[in-house]
Amino acid sequence: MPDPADSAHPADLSSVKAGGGLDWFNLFVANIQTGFGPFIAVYLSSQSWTQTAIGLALSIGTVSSMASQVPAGALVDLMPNKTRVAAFSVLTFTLSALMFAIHPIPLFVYLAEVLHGVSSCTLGPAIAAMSLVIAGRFGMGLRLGRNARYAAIGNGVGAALMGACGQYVSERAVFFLTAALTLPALLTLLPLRRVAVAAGELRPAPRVPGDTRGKYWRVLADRRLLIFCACAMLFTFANAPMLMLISGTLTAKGTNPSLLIAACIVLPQVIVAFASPAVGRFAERYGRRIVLMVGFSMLPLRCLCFAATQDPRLLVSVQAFDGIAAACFGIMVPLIVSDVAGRSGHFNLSLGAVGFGIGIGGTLSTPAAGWVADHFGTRMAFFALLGVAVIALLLVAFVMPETRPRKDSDEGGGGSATSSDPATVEPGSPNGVPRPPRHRRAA
Amino acid sequence: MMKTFPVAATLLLLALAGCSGLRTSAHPPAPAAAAPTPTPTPAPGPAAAPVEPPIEPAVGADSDSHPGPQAAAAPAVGPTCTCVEAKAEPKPKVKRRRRRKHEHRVEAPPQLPTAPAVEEIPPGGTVNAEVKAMSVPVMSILGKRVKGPQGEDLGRVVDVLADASGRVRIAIIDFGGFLGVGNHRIAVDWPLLRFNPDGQDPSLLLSLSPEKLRTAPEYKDNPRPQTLMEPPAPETAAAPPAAVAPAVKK
Repeated sequence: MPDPADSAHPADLSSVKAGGGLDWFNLFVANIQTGFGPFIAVYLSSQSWTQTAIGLALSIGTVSSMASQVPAGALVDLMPNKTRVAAFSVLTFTLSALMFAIHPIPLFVYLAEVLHGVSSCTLGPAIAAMSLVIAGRFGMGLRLGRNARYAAIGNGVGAALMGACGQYVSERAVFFLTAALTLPALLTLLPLRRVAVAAGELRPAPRVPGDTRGKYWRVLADRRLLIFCACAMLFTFANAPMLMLISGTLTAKGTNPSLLIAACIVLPQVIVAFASPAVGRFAERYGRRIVLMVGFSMLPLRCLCFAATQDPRLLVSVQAFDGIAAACFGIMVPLIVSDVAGRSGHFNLSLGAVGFGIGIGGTLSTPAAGWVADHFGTRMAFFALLGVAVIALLLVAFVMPETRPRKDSDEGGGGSATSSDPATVEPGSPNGVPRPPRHRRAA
Repeated sequence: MMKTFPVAATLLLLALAGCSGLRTSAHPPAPAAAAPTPTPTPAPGPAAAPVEPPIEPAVGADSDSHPGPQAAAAPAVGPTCTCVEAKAEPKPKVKRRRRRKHEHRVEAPPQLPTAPAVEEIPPGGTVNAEVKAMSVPVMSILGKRVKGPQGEDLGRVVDVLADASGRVRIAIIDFGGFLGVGNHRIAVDWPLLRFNPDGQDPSLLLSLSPEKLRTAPEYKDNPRPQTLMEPPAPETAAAPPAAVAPAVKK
């Protein structure tokens, strides 16, 4: 590729292999995660679980994943070998999928929910950290684009596979399939096992006696990170309930609601799979803010379209905007965090913080939108979401600074293009020692 | 920061979870709270009420209460294949409603012996229950697939709602969706469901078209949900609403 960003790092054999491994790993992990989605509620109700018990199980999952976002990020920071973290997380998935499949009694289901919640929180940062180690900070946009592409393929294929499995075999078989898919996921980690050992600067600072808490605080209180957290939270708040809201219309107006909803899920994944690498490259060349703005402007568009039409086919095609938004957002989250905290040694902690914001947005928005829809109608709910989406867009447009590191300020810890407040970044980076730009020495 | 964030989040979420838990569990107690109000009109209510308490699990009670009348309706056919009998019943609902009442009246005497035993229990007392095989076949309801008239998949029963007298009135059917996304919950009047506890694959039959289910309003967790029910025939029009209204009203 003629990209400046791409040519910046030499592609030696092991890293090519590792990159391939990471691609496939993303695919299989997305496959696995499809099984752990809202399908759990369907499965448990097929096992004669009451709605109250299912609600409790899902809440336990949500609470444990929210509570472990930030600590899990910090934990991944402390582990030098991110591949091992990833492998361990996948093994935990195997365990919880088997618990669901073999013996869905409350104890096992609750335990499986907790295990899955926590290991999702370690897996996400571990993938991002492996990407950072393999691609380095300047290839990160491209790498994340590939990650998103393969994850989208995995999501789409996973949805198709598991949908078919649930429909034609049994609900239980979905979880056996999920457990089986963890095996290839583990195999794809093999080429990564030596590559993704984080170099010194990606680890937390060598224990300087004294203020560890202050350091955590400074990393998390970075202005850019906080603004981005707020943006991400609002984005998720506006984005998460939309599918739920249109599914009512799809069910009432479409002839085959299940197929239409499947299309609403798969179409964005197709778009993400096609668009992601371009989005990553674009972000490296023209900066993050513009990509964020493109992604965030899709939300108001969708809200307006959904409020305007009731035609099932039109509703499904509007989901294409969701694909663009998802591609932009999915790549920008780890990318901006790596810009801000990539070398502070607290990359995963910061990623966990953003994940926490996203989690809050997602958790609060569905009941809130449901409430508005119940009391004022679905159209009003879309207008309410439109308001949130516009606030998010304005926040990105006028408050969020550019975070793309400048090529020439290689060794500067947090070389933000606008250098909004480097003072808050510098202390976070290990100990001010100039670092070479590539982090692949451990390879 | 490190400590306060997760803790605050956990508290917040626990509170949320608590709220949603309360909301879901709210409606079974609601009718129970309304229980003291007498149900004046319907014969089925009082007749069914004393029968059900001795059977402890809710599901057992539900499925038991229903086959009862059906079995009585088809004594000649015997306990097997109640469902077929029920389906074979002619359409007119007027007749069925009436017959139902009659059945209850007819059925009441043989079942009454168990009823006093329950009523005599002093508060906090116990029944000297004994173990016996159930006289009619029963089936679990929660999580069962519901099939349409043409054998099409109409979803799954995810909840069963009873009125103040303990009689099951509504089945909540989870319909549509893909992998758990976009499911649609619909309240369906209990008499619309037919049961087949004997079959190899016990399933429920619902004589509704998928179109009806698709266009039905989503079930909202309130004491008087919008429910898919048979259109009231002119004569009995007043009876079913009257049966529902005083029972739930408080």
